Amino acid sequence: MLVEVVQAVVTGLLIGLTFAVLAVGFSLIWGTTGVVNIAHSAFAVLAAFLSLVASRQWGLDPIAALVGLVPLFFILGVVLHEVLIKVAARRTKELGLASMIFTFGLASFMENGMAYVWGPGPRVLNTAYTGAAVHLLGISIPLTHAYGALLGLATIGLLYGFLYHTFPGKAVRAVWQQRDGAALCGIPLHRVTALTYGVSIASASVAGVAMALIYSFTPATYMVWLVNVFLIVIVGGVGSLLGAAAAGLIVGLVSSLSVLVMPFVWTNLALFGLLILVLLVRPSGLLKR
Amino acid sequence: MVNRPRDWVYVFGILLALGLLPLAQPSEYVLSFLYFLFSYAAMAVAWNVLGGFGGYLSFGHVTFFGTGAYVTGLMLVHWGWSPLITAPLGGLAAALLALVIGYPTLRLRGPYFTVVTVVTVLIAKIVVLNVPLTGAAMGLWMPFPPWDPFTSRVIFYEAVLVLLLAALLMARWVQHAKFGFGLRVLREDEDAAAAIGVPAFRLKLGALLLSAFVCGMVGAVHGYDRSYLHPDFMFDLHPSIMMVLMALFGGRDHWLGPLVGAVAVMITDELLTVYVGTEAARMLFGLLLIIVVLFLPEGVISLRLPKKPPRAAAAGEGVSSP
Amino acid sequence: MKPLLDIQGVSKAFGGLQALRDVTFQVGPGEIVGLIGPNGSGKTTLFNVISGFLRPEQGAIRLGELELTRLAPHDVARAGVGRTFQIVRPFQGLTVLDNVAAAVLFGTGQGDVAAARRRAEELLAFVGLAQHRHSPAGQLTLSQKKRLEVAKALGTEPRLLLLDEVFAGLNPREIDDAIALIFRLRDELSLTVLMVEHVMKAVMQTCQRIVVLSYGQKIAEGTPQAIATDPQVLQVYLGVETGAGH
Repeated sequence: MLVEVVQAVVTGLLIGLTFAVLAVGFSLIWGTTGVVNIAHSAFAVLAAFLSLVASRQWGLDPIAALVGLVPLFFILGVVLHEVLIKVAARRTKELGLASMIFTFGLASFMENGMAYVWGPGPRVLNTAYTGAAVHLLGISIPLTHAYGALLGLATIGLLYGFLYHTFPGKAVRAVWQQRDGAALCGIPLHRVTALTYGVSIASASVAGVAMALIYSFTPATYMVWLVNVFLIVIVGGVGSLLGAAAAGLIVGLVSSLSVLVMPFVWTNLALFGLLILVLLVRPSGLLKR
Repeated sequence: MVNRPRDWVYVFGILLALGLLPLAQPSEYVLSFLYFLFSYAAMAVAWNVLGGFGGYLSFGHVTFFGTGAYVTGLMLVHWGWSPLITAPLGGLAAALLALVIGYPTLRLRGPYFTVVTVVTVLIAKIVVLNVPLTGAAMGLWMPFPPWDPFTSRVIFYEAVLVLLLAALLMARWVQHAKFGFGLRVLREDEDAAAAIGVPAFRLKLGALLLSAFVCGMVGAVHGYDRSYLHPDFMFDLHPSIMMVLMALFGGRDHWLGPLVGAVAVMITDELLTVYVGTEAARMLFGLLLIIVVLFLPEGVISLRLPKKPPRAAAAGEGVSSP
Repeated sequence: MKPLLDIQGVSKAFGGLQALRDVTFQVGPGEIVGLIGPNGSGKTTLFNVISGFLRPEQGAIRLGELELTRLAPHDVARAGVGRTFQIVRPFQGLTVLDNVAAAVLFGTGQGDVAAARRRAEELLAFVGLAQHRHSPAGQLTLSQKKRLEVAKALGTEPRLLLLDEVFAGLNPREIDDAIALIFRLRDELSLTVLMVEHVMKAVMQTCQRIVVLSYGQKIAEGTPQAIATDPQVLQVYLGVETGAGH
């Protein structure tokens, strides 16, 4: 019994870390610009599909494909900002609510575009290490989960380093904390915001590949991932990087541990229940300082 | 909120004419299309009271639709009562559920509220899927309606037309009454509204209950029509999304807005699906949603209503409320 | 004379920060009382407590015979307390007329929208905004928006008016106009006014009594002349290095 619990804990942490990456980028945008980017996980799914293409066409391992994907998605993020967000910020009164709707439109557009190109059926990323696992003290650690989690850890670490130890990153935080003040200091708001979007969407691409290593996906999967992301962001507090990371781990744990104590079909319910509980009790997040 | 007294005469006249349409023996296709149009429109119009007037965007109203269907369906299965008669009870059940859900969640603002509504649908789906009472994963089979196919079609057609009428009357009343004024004000600034005496929570709850009631009744009719209920299509996010799209596209400030939106959306959907395929249609709707939010926030109907003076950017305080 | 507003021992904390500590004072009917203090002294917090947006941990607030302490904001408004906000909050998408009509509709027992609009016209005339009644509220100048705030508060037929820094951002001419308006509120509408203010000129000219807060506590209360020479007040405003504030 103990072995099962430990196994669940390990798996949960690994999966949680992977989800955390997706959540971190989403939370970053929400925290800094007030935009709730429903399409965030759609970008992740797109990255998953593209890595699939890379795998099929050129035999590239998905993680290797990230070398090309990350810059590409950074550019996509900047484009998103220039084309959509800037216009929206000018024209709408309550950006938060409006952003939910038009990013949903974007997500729907992307979902159906992907369905058009690749069909609605489920896809799996097959790599050289799919199905292989490392065995440690009686615990089985699937390599796909391990690599996904490592990617996650690396990305979160890089993001943290970026935000706290580089000048552009600090500019991002400055804009988030005190927009007008940052402008007064000479920080170019639009460039910094564009940078933020680039970073966010780039992180989404990493997340997409990491998730695709573990889970099968369809164009519609973005919604399922999004619900988990919402859960993590709300638990961890909007805009908090470490909060999202920690909350990701918590959600991963709850998810895998609940499988042990209740029939599988109810486990999602446990997560949703957690989400609602947190929203009602402490909407600012459990972990936000 | 401009009131053009003559408009409603035209609208109800048209609806009356549509009510008489079956006498002209129209094709099954036309009846079916209008059946779905009226159903969506009724729900969108009702949804708009909370979502458009009040500004609380719910993506969860399909939960009430499903509840109405299941409650009346179960009453039919166990007691033989026709859902066409018990539809109001289905609506009541939906309203009761709305009360239970709304009480804790209407305290939440903006995106948080919307997220909860989405999760509500997902929860409802899981619960219904796993509870034997509602047929679990196998679904719920109901007795067929006792009429021949064409009569059946006509009866259901008239039923949803009546519901659309009821929804329109309800929304129109709300818009012109103190109730609607309050919703509009709390949408602008809920705290400032409270400071002048607006009982925001009560108004929101009322709007939620009314819209849930209508959706529940529509669900009851649909359930009976399908004769088979399954959570996959009774608690699916798509109708919820359609309601939001129709209301926002048509015009959220006017009781007729969602109806205009429903007509536009359904015709476009039909044309696109036939000529270009489902995915392309949905891609276009995605784009449409973006365009509407960015460029037509008051909806299509605002193009026809008398123009309000243009809004200039407020000078001196770009800061949002504390 | 029985006070109109009776604040007894009100304390309010946010986590570790004690925003209000045992604040006690009264405002008599027809008085204009000023509430001053350095930034972060708890003035707006006190307003939020009085108007029902915050609940105090301790203490009680009475309006005449009625206990306000646990009432929700909309009930406080209906009970006869009108307030303006430090940063003006007009209903931008509505016309100026409808802004005030909303207050009449919901702040009093009025049920008829048309009647509420008629009453709103009277109030707009009183504050001098009649010619703007069909403009969208978002289009007004700052000074006009402040008058709109007052008109909205008046719409609820209050007995007590809480003015939160109405003078901020006004030029000298506008300040004089606003001072005149406040006197008219007392003289023509029999209102009692409690005002949070930083603009000393306005406070000294309008208030017959002043209450001074510092770090959430009342440190002085008296006539403008007394307050202007009170050593504690002077120290708080001029001598002490202010800390983190909020």
